[in-house]
Amino acid sequence: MSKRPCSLVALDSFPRLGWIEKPSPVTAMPDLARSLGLEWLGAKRDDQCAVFPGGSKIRKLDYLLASEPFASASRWISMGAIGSGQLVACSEAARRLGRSHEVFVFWEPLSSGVLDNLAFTALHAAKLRYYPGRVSCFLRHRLSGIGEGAVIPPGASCPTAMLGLVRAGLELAAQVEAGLLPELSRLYVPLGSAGTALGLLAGLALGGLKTQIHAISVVEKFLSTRRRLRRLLGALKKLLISANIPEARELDLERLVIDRRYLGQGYGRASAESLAACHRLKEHGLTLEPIYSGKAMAALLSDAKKNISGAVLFWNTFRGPLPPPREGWQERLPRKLRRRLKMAETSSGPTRRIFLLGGAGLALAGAVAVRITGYPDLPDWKGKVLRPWQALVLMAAAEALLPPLLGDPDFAGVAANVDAYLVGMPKGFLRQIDLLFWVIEQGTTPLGLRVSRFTELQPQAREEYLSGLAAWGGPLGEAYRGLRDLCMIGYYQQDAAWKGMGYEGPWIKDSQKPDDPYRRLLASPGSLPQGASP
Amino acid sequence: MIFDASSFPLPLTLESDLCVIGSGAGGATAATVAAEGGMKVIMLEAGEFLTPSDMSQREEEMMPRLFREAGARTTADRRIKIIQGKGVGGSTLHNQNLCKRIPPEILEDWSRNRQLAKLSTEDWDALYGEIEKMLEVTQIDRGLWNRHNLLLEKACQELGWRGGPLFHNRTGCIGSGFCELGCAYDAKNNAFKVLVPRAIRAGAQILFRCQAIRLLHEADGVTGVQAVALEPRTNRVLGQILIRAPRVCVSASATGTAAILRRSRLSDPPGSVGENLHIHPAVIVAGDFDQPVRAWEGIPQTYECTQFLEFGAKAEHEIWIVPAFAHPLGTSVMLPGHGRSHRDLMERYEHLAVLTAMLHDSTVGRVEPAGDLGLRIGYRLSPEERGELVFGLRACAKLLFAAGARRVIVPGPNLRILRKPDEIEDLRKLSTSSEPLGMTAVHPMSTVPMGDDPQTAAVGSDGKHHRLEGLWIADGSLFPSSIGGPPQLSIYALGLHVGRALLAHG
Repeated sequence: MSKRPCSLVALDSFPRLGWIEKPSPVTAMPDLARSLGLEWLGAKRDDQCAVFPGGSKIRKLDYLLASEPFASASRWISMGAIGSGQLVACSEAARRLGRSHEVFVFWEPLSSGVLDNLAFTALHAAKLRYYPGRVSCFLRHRLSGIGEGAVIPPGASCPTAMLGLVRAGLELAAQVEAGLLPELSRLYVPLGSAGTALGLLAGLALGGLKTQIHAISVVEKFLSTRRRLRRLLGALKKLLISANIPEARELDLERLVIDRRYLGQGYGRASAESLAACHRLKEHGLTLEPIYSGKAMAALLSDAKKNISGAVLFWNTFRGPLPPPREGWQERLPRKLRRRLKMAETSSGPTRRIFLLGGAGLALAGAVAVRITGYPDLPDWKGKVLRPWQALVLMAAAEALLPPLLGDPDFAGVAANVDAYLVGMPKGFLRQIDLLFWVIEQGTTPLGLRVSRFTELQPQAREEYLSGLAAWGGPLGEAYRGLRDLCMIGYYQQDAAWKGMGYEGPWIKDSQKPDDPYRRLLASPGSLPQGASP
Repeated sequence: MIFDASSFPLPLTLESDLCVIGSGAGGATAATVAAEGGMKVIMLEAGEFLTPSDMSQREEEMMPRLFREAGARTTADRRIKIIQGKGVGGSTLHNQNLCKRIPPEILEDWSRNRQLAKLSTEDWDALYGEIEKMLEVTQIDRGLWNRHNLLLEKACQELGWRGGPLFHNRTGCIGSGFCELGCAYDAKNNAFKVLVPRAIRAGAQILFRCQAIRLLHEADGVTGVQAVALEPRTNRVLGQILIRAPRVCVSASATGTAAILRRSRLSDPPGSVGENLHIHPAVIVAGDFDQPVRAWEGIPQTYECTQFLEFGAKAEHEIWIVPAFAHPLGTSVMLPGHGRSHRDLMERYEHLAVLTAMLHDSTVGRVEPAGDLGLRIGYRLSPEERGELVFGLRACAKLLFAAGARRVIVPGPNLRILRKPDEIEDLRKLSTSSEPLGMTAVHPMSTVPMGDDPQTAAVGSDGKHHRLEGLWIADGSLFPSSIGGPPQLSIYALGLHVGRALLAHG
């Protein structure tokens, strides 16, 4: 570690609420580090910031709300997606400080985390306005500031708020100096409105750390261009220099690596990788959400496969747990938003329309690309229900969804078992199965933005596509679930699958069939009941 | 005798005094009473004739043979799996042999509100007495309880929660634990073992692979049943079978009976047929224990937790908790995720204990026919009852931790793993979220609620249809409401009651 030129005291000339008194803890994750082959891995636990609800947003508000015009305004106005964590933090801050908080929200896909945040905001905000689109919401939000309200910028990413993250970087530098963690080679953090990543970049540099910051973009590129980042960093530098911190002159974007590969289908949408990362980290005691922190962790997990050297830190920006929402919170939402929620929950309305439009789109795409032919022969296929191409879809799905490390799984056997299971099902059920296979096979382009059909993708890409459908929820989530269940049904009836489970199978063997006195109740074949007439 | 309808030359017409649709607890009992009373009886069964030697204890073989839609039947919105049986003996072939009477609070409520003059609470007592004797209902000796049930008992004692042993109709059980796949040891004292041979001895004829579609009727009364023969394995329609009979007793389960009645376009001024469906939706929670539980071995359900099962107007909670376990195939579908994470859970199979919280539901659903052979089940749990079911989830999690689970797994689209009891409260959020709860229901009932007032009910308290002469109902469709527990004993009792009324009516 180089000499630390700047300390926390340097920021004391800026007013703040004083909410962040103690450093958030750093948790070492030796088990995960070992399994990833990393020298050291830890998490900076902003979810455990002392002030409710925790999370890095609190750090921004610590400075922002102590500055003008927020310090003297009686009414704050902020905007975000319906499940925005910032709106939660602002609502709580307004409640604590006795201010009126008005929020402008726009739609994003639902998840339990989104609903938790929305419930909290709805219960605590003085007024909640809903605009379905991001752009109209942004414009309305801007216009709302004309008058007496103080408008909190989206993501609270302005130089004053970023001081909270500069402070966080200095805080981490102090923890490194105190030996609580090794000097870091990399730090992973999500990149949204950029305030967090740039603030940390500045803080770490001022604290003397040469850590490379991997900012994992969770928004579209036009919202986080390097030009915008340079401009924002320039404004922060100016502010720091004005407070007699000349070292800020040296700040630049050199140590910032922007990684845009983990955005998935866009802002506010969980990706397969982020869901998998959340799941994996849950096992290690760290709760993430799939929109911001999950994507950053997905990048870390992926990069770890490339032999990263040195110590790695994950900055957990996610908040801590919220209390269960009071019943009836939906009543506080504007009618339009209530209706939209209801439609999404019942999988009707737009979600179903999107599904149907997707179906039409994929039918067209399929016709244009002539993708419905050209399957390899399956000469041994003797299925009674599934056609050969459907058997291939099932085998491809089984390869992607069934567990690895099980020797030589019999994917053709899985397809044959599923075919046997489907014999005897009602016609309506089989029609749904037909549709399911069609959507899975041809939906890769309109739904997964991939050129090839499902059976032509590599196993990992297939797994990602299917996980994406699961994350989408609604009818597409059901399609994933249906295909997954078929794979499980085809697989877990194989005796080989029971290995390692402690299950030994049936007690009855064919040779042990008991005597059966009931057979004599059965009439001989061809005989007719009394009272029968053709 | 028992006949395979798929072997008949088709079309075929049959004549009898009484045609009973369905051969489960209600139909087999009513048919036996009528046949022993001297009537010529024909019973129709859509499923197969399966004897103990057919029970292979393999899920992939038995599920398509024992369950409607191979166990994949769901509500129309696919949110709730509906498990219903088929085969000669109906759902009594695969059920867990639990025998519980309907609580007195519910019977009194029915008497008060539905004017059940021909089925008083005293009548119920007498019917239960007879049925319990016939099925040799006993409490399972504690020495035969498996570790799974002992863990639930321990948890109840630990928490000071109410619980107790369950009563069963089984004799000669060796505790293989394959009850839900049919008993290979003929230890279930079910409709197949106890009633079918009696009915046949009395001259009844059973047609299996024969599905009733609609009732034939004229202005004065019922004249018979239109049915079809089904091909083995594929269930494709082979041809038509007409049964001419002046009496028909429909005992095709709460879903099947309602679908047949509606498909038959009977006069139904109260509009109650198919409209009052209760299903006892249930959720499950798994506990991961350090020591093996091997929950699939032994009698599956011998102990119940009734701490939160209350009846009557002042009931605060309506949740019944019992152990529930599945064999590998059922478990693999129940657990969330895929790939390594799913396999990790499966490799803990031996260490898992699973509890189910079942709701005594007030939500009502609907059954409608879908074509000649199918049906559609509409059921959407009310927000209040969703909250109650989530309460049940939390209660199960508390029990599992109290029993010593090192972690608790809550299945669903999003895997939830709780590592300490403090985290249970997080589950409250599920009450108001839109996330599917992964519900299963095994007790559809009350789609043709009985009542003596023809203005409010289609069928009287003797099971006789108010408007169509010769039509009788004898199954769980008749319950006016949810009964809050396993229904088989009460359905046998109704079969006995209706069979006698039918015979007395002539």
